[in-house]
Amino acid sequence: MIDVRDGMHGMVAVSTFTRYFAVWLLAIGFGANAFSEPLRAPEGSVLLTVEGAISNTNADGAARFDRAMLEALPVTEFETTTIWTEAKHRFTGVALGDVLAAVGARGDAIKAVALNDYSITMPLTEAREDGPIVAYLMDGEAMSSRGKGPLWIIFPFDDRPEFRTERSYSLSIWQLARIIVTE
Amino acid sequence: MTASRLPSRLFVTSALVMLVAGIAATVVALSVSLLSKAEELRSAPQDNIRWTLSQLEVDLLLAAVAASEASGPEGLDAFRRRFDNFYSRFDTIASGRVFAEIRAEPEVEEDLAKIRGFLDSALPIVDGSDEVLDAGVRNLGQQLDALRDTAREIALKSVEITAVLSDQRREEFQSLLVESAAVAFVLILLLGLMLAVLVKQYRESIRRADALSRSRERLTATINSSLEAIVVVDADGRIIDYNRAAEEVFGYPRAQAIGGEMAKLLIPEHMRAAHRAGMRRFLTTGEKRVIDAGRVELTALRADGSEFPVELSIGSVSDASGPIYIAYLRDITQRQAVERELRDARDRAMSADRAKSDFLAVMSHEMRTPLNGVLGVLDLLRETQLDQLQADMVRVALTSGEILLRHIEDVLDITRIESGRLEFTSEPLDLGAIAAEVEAINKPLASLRGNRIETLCEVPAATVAGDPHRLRQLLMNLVGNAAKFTRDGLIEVGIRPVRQTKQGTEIEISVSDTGLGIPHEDQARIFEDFVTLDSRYDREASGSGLGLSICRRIVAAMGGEIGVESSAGKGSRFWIRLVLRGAATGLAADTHPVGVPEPSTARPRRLRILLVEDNDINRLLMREMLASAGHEVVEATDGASGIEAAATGEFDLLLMDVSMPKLDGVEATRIIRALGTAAAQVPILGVTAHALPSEQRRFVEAGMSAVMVKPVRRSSFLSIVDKLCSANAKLPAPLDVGSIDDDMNEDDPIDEETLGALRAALGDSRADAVIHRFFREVAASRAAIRLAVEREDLDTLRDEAHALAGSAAILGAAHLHSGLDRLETACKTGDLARALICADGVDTLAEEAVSIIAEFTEIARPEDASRRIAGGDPASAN
Repeated sequence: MIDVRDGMHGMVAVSTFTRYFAVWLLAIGFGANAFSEPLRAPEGSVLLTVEGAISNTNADGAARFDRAMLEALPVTEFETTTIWTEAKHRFTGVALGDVLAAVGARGDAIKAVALNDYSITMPLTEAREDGPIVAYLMDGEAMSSRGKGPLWIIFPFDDRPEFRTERSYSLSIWQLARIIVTE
Repeated sequence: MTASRLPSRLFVTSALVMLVAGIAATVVALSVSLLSKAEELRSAPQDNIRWTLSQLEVDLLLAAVAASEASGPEGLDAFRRRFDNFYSRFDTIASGRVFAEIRAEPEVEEDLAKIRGFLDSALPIVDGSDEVLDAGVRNLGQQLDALRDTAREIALKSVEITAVLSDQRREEFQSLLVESAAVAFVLILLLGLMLAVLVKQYRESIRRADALSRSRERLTATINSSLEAIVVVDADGRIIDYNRAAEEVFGYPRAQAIGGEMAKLLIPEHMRAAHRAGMRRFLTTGEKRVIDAGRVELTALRADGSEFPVELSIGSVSDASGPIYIAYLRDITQRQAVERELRDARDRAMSADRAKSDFLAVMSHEMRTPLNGVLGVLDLLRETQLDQLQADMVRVALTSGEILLRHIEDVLDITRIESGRLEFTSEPLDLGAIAAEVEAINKPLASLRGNRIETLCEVPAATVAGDPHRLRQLLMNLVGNAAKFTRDGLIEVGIRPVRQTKQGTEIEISVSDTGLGIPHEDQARIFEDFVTLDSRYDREASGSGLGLSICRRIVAAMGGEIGVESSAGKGSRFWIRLVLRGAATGLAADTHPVGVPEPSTARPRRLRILLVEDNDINRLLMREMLASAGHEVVEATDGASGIEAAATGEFDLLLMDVSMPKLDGVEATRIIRALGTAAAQVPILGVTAHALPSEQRRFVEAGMSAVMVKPVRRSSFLSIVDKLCSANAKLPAPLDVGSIDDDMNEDDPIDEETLGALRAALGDSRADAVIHRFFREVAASRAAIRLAVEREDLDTLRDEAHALAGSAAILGAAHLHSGLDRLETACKTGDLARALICADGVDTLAEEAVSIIAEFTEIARPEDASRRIAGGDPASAN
């Protein structure tokens, strides 16, 4: 059992090495943002629901985020081209790792599900600091669900060539609605 | 590497570099193209396209289903979500970059336009209120159903298109693989090539290193086994190599020598400055004196500080770090010691040889003196009343004595030649006259054996110059030999010019006979010493065996050749070839053979003679001799008064003593000749106590007509006077002088005539006083000479000899005079050994002279005085 709310200093016991290792990975990956305040309840319409092996919740076993809550999380943005769009676009959002840290995710992988029922799974290790973000703005505009909105997991394809792979393209799920953290 | 290999090596290298660069560029270009293609492949999402396209139909169906089931607000919201999904899907396909290729297909484009038309028309309804949507949702559902085939068509079409594209991509990939393989193959080939080159170079370098190390080993072995020290020095003078022999020679171990400064270690301190200057000179000017100069002998330094002589040769080689010097050195201490020993041994041998020659000379001289006595007594005995037997015995004794005398003369001649005292005069020659004279002398002996002598001289008189006495001696010897070994035959004497050379005329003198001949095997050795061939005709004629060897020596000394052609039984032909220089001044054709006073047949005329002589006794002596012959004598006592008298008086002859105080005879003669008075045309006879032929030449050059050497003997003196004045018309050419010396010499130990003349001139009492004084002088001189001998004091010996020679001449002590003469000459030439022997001889000769004079004049010898002055018994000196 780990009480992550107390941060690293509050770490009192380690039941198994595996657990400790997972937390350590999260601590490395998400830095100081990994441990934030307890989630408040969403006030606007819910854009994203995170459930599964998480310790920060604001509903029954789930963490729900409205646009304002997402915008309150640390912002990450970059410009990139994608294979699904013409020209270069500016994407603004929250690093996937920051989202997972905000919910106290402690699993090995996530499953992300889109409004159109498309879904992917990826190991938590792929939620690197310089990796994918959960974008909520494209070129400063909210994205419509008739396009790729409202949320789009997108990789910095231009900055980091290692993401220009079929796998990363398949992981770039748009119309994202739900994330399930699995152990 | 040699300079000639450089360019080709450079060319090959640059060609190789260009090839490699070209290949590398190709490989890089290929690699870049491969990489970009690979990147393209990696980032081309194929499956996603199909998924999206197939999902278009699914989303359409889902939207259609939602439309049919739409009732109530939730059903409408559900439809809206489905519609949005379908819209989103369509939007992706219609605007996504990856779908561009599919969109390009006209049918697809048409289909997409159809869907877009639907969506555009549906939007106001979907986005409208629930009522609006509720009213139109059925219609939308039907439209969606109608579009189902269109969506399917797009999916199917895209399958077709993507299949083609996939095939293209596969082909591209395949060609990429092939290209990669090609590049890889080229690379491998290139690597293999480089490997081969590397291996080859590696092997070559191994082989070279091997050869180098072998040659270095050989060189090291060569250097170390060298018997000569080898020292290698760099440009800074530091020793960089030093072999085993050098360790032995210099005494430094190799470890100490290497790196040391050569100049400090191996060069003696006093030579270092010169060495450094030489090195500086070489480095700045490149001028080499020792380096590459072959063998040089220098002094070197050993470790123990001793110096020793070395022979060395230094070579220089330039390498990258500057010149290095390689010195080969050999310690020549021992060699020099051996050389010195050899030189000393040779000198000892030579001095021993000279001592032997001197001994021979002195001994012969000593033998001749008593022999003269024996012969004289035998002559007297022959004139007495003898019976036949006695007369025969006297004749045999005389003959034997004469032979003995000739042998002694021969030995004397040899020793004179050997000691290098043979000097030649040079005067115009009448070779015909000489030959005629020789013929005349030999005629009696030749006639005895039935031989004829014929003489032919083709060299005109006075065209060549030379030494008449030596030439006569040569001819006498050859003709005498021919006469001895020929019976009833012909002896031909020929003198002819052979050719002209730069030095003068080469003449050949030949003497042919029809006698026994000389066997071929003996021809070479007959010119050696003491060789006599068996004489069949006349035992008495056998000689000393020195005649021809004397000839050989004389000819050699004159720079000529002598030889013989002969066959046994048919006769011999001896020849002499000489180069005689041309006579400077011609002589009258009737010039007599010089040196032999021709007996004056004409009645001697009365001459007026000026006698310049500072010595009273000598002046008296000569005046008496001249007066006895009826000549008129005017006396002068020194050079100056002699010149004055000559200028004022009228004379037929001037007699000039050579050594006089103040103005000597030579200078006086020169002045008289220069004054141009009547006396300048008058013959001048020089009189000197002692003179070498070279000095006599000086007198002649000063203007003397002849030189006479003291002691003055009446007969020869008067004959020379006659001779000089008989060439009346003009000033005669200088007379030979050596002959006078010869004639004056040594017939008797004491020339009684001189002694008699002295008595006649001075009167008994004065003569006795002179003789007494002479005895004392002799005693004093002998003592002084002995002392000088002990001290090896050549200067004193010379002065004593000179002083006593004058007195000996006056008293006619001929042997003593010539002995002193020899002593003086030896002293002048610095020949100590010879001087000591002569001094010893002088002592004996002085004793002899004193005892003979004492006996002859019945004047007691002052024994006591001799002892007193000598400080000992003179007899003990021997």
